[in-house]
Amino acid sequence: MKKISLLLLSLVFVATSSFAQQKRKTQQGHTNQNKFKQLDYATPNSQRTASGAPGIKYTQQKVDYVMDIVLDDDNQKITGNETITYHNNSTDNLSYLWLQLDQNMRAADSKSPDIQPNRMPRRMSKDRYNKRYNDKPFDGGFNITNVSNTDGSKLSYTINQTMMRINLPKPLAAGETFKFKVAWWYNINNHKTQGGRSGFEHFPKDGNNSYKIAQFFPRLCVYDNVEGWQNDQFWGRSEFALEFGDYTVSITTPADHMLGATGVLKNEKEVLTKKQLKNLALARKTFDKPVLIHSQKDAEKAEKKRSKKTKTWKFFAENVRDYAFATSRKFIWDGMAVKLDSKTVMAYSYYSKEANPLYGDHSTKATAVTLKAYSRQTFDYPYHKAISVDGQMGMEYPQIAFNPGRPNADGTYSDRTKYRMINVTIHEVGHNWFPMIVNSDERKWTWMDEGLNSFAQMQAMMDYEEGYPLGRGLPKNIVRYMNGDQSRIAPIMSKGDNTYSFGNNAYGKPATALWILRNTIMGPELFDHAFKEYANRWKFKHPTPADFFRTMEDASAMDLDWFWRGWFYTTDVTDIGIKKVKKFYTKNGDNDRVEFVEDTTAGAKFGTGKKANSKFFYEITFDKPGGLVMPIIVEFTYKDGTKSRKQYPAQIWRLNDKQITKAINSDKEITNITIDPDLETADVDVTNNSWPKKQENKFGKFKNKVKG
Amino acid sequence: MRIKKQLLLLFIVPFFAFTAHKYYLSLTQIEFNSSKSSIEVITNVFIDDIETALNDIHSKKFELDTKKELKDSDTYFNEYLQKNLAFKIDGKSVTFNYLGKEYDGDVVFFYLEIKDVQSISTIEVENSLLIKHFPAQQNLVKSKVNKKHKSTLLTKSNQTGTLTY
Repeated sequence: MKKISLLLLSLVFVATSSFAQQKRKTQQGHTNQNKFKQLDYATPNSQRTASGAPGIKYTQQKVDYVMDIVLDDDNQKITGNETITYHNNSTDNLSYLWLQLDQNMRAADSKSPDIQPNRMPRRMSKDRYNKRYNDKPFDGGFNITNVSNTDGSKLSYTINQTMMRINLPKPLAAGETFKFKVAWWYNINNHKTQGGRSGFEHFPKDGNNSYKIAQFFPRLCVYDNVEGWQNDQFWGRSEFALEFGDYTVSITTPADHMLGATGVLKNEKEVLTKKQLKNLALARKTFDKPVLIHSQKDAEKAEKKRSKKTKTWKFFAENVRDYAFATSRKFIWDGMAVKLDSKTVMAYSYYSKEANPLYGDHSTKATAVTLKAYSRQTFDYPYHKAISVDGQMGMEYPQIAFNPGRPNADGTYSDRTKYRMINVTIHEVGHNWFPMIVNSDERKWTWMDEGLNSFAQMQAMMDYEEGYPLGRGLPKNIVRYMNGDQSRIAPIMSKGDNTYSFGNNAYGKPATALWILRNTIMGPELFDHAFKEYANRWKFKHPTPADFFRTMEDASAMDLDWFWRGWFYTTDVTDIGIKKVKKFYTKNGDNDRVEFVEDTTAGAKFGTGKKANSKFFYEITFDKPGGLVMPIIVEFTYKDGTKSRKQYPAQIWRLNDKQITKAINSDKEITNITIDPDLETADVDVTNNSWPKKQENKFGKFKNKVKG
Repeated sequence: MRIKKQLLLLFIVPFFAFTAHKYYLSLTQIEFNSSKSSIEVITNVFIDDIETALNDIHSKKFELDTKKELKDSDTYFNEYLQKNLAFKIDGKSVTFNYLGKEYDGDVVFFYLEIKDVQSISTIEVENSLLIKHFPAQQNLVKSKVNKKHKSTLLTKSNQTGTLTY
C-alpha cells in the first residue's frame, strides 16, 4: 500500500515538474456562458405551465367593494367609507390581509422625500420657499377613521407607511370570504404644484377646481403564489398590483359638477339633464365624429355658479382592478361610438375650456383609434367605455385616463403639442389592456405593462393619421440611451424604483425590443399570433415575465432565450461590423478540380486575373464589438446598381461570439456591402457597417450638404 | 414669472413618473480629423428641451422644427452654444465655428468645428448645456482622437472634464 502511494506521489511529482518545464498549467473549466444558453425560469407547476399559460389549478383572489364617496369642493377633501368582500380563492389559509394606502406617500411623515437625495437650491420662488420652509408640511395621507367587522365591532390593524395589515380574528380559510368595513378621509393634493398621479387643478380665473381622483380608497394588495402578498411600499414611482372585483360606488359632488368615472352609470336620469340625455343617445349612435353631450357653452355657464346642492352619481363596475373618477364644474363632455369586431363601445372625453380646441379636436378621436388598434392586436375591449380626461398629467385607471396638453391662450397649438397630447392619450387609454386587463405587477416589473403598452401604442399612432411621427420604439431612437454611460443604465429586468432614466428603461427599450422582435426577428405573422395569444391567455389574470417569454416562444416555435437574455437581462448593445472582405475568382485546376484564387486588388474591383467565365466569390468576416447577439442584415449593391438582401439569423453567433466568416458567391460584381441599412437593430456604431469603408463620416456629409 | 413656474415644476419632478418619463441628456461627439487638422464636434440635445431654454432666455416662441420656426434660430443656437460649450486643447482655449443644425425625430444635431489643430494630447470640455433649466441634465461627451476613445459624463455639480489621449 505504502509502495503504491509512493509511486503515485512520484508520478505526480514527475508530472508537475515536466508541466512546469513546459510552463503549462492545468486547464480550468468554466460554466456555460454561451449567449444561447437556455434561461432558467421558475419551475412550472399546475398554476403556471411551462408553455406560459395559466395552469389548471391557477387561482386568483377576488375583491368586491361597495363605496360611498363624498367630495368636499370647498376644502378639497375626500371622505369615504367602504365595505370590502375578500374572496380567498387561493389554497392557503390567511392570517392577515394587506391593504394599500397610496395617499400615505403624501403624508406629512412620508418617507418618499427622504429617499430622494437633494442639494441646496440656488434660488427659489418666495411662494415655494414659504411652502417648503415656513408653512406646515402638506398632509395628504389617509386618516383612517374606522376599521371594523360588518357588525361594527373593531378590527385590529397595523399601518406600515403605505401598507395596512388587517389582523384577522381567525385565519381566513381557503375558499372562504371575509367582509369588513373601512372609513377614511384625506386632503386632496394640488397635482399642478405638488405633483401626483391624481389630485386637483385650481383655475384662479374662475375659482374652480377640476378633480382627478384615484388611489383614493384603501384597497387590497395582490396575494398569489409568486410573491405571497405583494406589499412592497409605494414610493411614488413603481405603480400598482391589484386584484379584480366588482365595484358599487356612489359619489356625491356639488350638483353643478360634470363627472366621469369607471363603471356603468346606473342613475343617468337622476344626474343628467334631458338635453344631456338626448345628446348622449345621439353620441351612442354616432361613429364618425365626437358628439358634444355637454358643450363648452354649457360648461362656461356652470363654472360661473356655485351650487350649494349636491348630487350623487351611482356606478357599477364589473370585473375591474381599480376605480377612478374626474369631476368639475368646468368639464365639457363629448363622446362617440366605436365599432369593434364583436361589439360597440363608447369613447368619451371630459375637458375644461382651457384644453379646447385641442381636446375637442383630438381627445375622443385618439381614444377611439386606440380602442380599435388595441382590440386588433389583442382582444376586443371587454368594457363598455373608455374615457380621456384633460388631467394635465399622464396616468391610467380602468376605463379612465388623465392626459396632458393644452393649446395656447389664443386656441392655436403647435404640432409638437398636438402629437404629444395624442401620444399620451393613446398611451394612457392603451393601458386599459396592459395592465388593467392583462394584469401584470407594475410594482415589481414596470416594463411588463409600460413596455408592452409603449409598443402596442405605435400601431395606434400609425392608425391615427398617415405619416404620424413615431418617436419612442423605433430602433434608431434608442441608440442614444443604450450607448450612454453604462454606470447609469440598468437592465430592463430591474424594479422600476431602482432604475436610471426610467422612461428609456421601462418604456422605450422594451418597446424597441418588441418592435425589433416583430419586424426583424420573428416577422409580423409569428409575432402577432404569439402576442395575441399572450394577451388572451392572461386577460383578467396576473402574468409574470416568464409567462410572457414562454408564451412568445411556445406559440411561435422560436427559441428566443438569447433575445430575452440580451435585451432584458443585460445592458449590452448591438454593434456588428464588417471586419474584412476577401475576393476570389475561379480557374480550372488539375484533375477536373476548380481552384479559388484570391484577388488582392485594392477596393471592390477585381483585377485582370479574373476571367469572364468565373463567378464572383467573397469571404466576408463580420465582427461583433457589441455584446448583443443579433441577426446580420446584409445589403449587397451590385455593379449594375441593383441590390439584394440577406439576413443571417442571430444563431450565426452561437459558436463564436466575436467574429464569424461567410463565403458567398455572386453572378454579379459587388461594389458595396452594408450591414443594417435600414437601422433596424439599434446598432450603436454604424461607422463599421460598410465595405468598402465609407470615407465620409456624419460630420463630413453634413459639411458637404451645407456647402452644396 | 415664467422662470418661477419652471422652477416650481422642477421641484416636483422626482414625484412625477408618468408616461413622458423625461430624461435629460445631451451627447457631444468629438472626433479629431488629422488630415484636415480640425476637430469635428456633433452635439445633440432634445428639441423640446433646447426650445424651453431658448423660449425662456429670449421670451420668444421658437417653434423649432415647425413651419413657424423663427428664421434666425441658427443665430440663437450659435449664441447659446458659444455660451455653454468651451474647449481647451492642451490647456489652450480654442474657438469653434457653428456650421449648422439637423433635426432628427425629437433630437437636434449641432455641427461645430475647431480649426487648425495639429496635434492633441488633452481636450478640456466645459459643458453647461441646459443645466440651468434642467438641474437633472446630464451631458455626455465622447471622443475619438488618434484611434483612442475617451468619454466623460458632465452634470450640474461637475461641468468640466478633461480627456487625455
